[in-house]
Amino acid sequence: MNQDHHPCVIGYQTHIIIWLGLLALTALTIVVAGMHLKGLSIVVALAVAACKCSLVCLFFMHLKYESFFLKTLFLVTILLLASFIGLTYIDIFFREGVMK
Amino acid sequence: MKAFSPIEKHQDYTGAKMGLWIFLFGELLLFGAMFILYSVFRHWYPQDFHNASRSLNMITGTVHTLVLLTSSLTMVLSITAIQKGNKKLCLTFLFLTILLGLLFMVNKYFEWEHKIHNGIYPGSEFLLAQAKGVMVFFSLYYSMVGIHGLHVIIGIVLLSWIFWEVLKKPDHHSRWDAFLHKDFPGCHLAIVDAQGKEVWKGEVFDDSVKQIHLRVSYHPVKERIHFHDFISLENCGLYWHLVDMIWIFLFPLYYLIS
Repeated sequence: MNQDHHPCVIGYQTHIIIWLGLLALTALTIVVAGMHLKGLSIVVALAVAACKCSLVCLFFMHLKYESFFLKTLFLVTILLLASFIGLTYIDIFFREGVMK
Repeated sequence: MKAFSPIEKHQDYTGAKMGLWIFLFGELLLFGAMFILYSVFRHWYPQDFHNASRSLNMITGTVHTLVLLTSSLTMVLSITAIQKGNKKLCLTFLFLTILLGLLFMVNKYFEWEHKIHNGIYPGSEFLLAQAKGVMVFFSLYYSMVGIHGLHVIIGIVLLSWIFWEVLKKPDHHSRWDAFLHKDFPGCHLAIVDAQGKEVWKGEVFDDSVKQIHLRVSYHPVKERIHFHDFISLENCGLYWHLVDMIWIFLFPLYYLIS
């Protein structure tokens, strides 16, 4: 009953360190938002948000310790979403007369 | 006496986890579609979005973020606690998570109450008089943050349910049944240790004993808690972290662009 792969137990400490990292990144995103970087600020905000999401996903959701199959499924979903975004933007940038 | 066999409950750890992840992928696409809408409209009305975002309080947004991030931490700590066999600590962290979830909703209530009081809600006269981009911004704000809030409420309900489950359950039960009534009279039940010494001995059975049900309850110590036992807790945790992840994107996109 108990033979298949046991998820490894990650200590309290690791999680607290990840949480501190998340807080630091939150502070970073607020500081950068206050610096009025114009176009660059959205890039930085999204990059920081992506970092935070990765931390939550990998450590809090234990994705780092999951099977290769689940990791692949996750990646496929992200690629699917990215392709939706990409295709939408192709329409917006390159098609004449998109409703505005 | 015929060998007793424990009644096993069917459990599928990998299947349960995979199922929840597939559900989460669906959720990602749901919110992803809304983020696409947001980005397109923001691309069309950058100035209006910039102006509209000014009415959102950055401090409130930061408090939301801190509360949700901390609740994610307490959630994952409660899973670590149960893995280490500490049921009390697990319940404490779970309770904190629920509390932080409620705090988020109370905070949200005051934020929205304030906004609606100031006449900022979809279809309000104030908003209809604004530029088109401002209207779009608030429509998106209310739908995205609203659906996110709905997820938080569902998460709180799930966590409360799992709190109850952990509270009454992780004692693992096994049951053995025997119906050999002809053999029972004159014998007694006993528990023997490894050396064959009787640790406990019951009374001698008379004719009235027709069957024996033996139920073994394990206490939630580290050796007794198997990872199959807390899959529901892990799944609720996964859902809760997804809610947190979505907020991580909502926060800079709505509160930090002015």
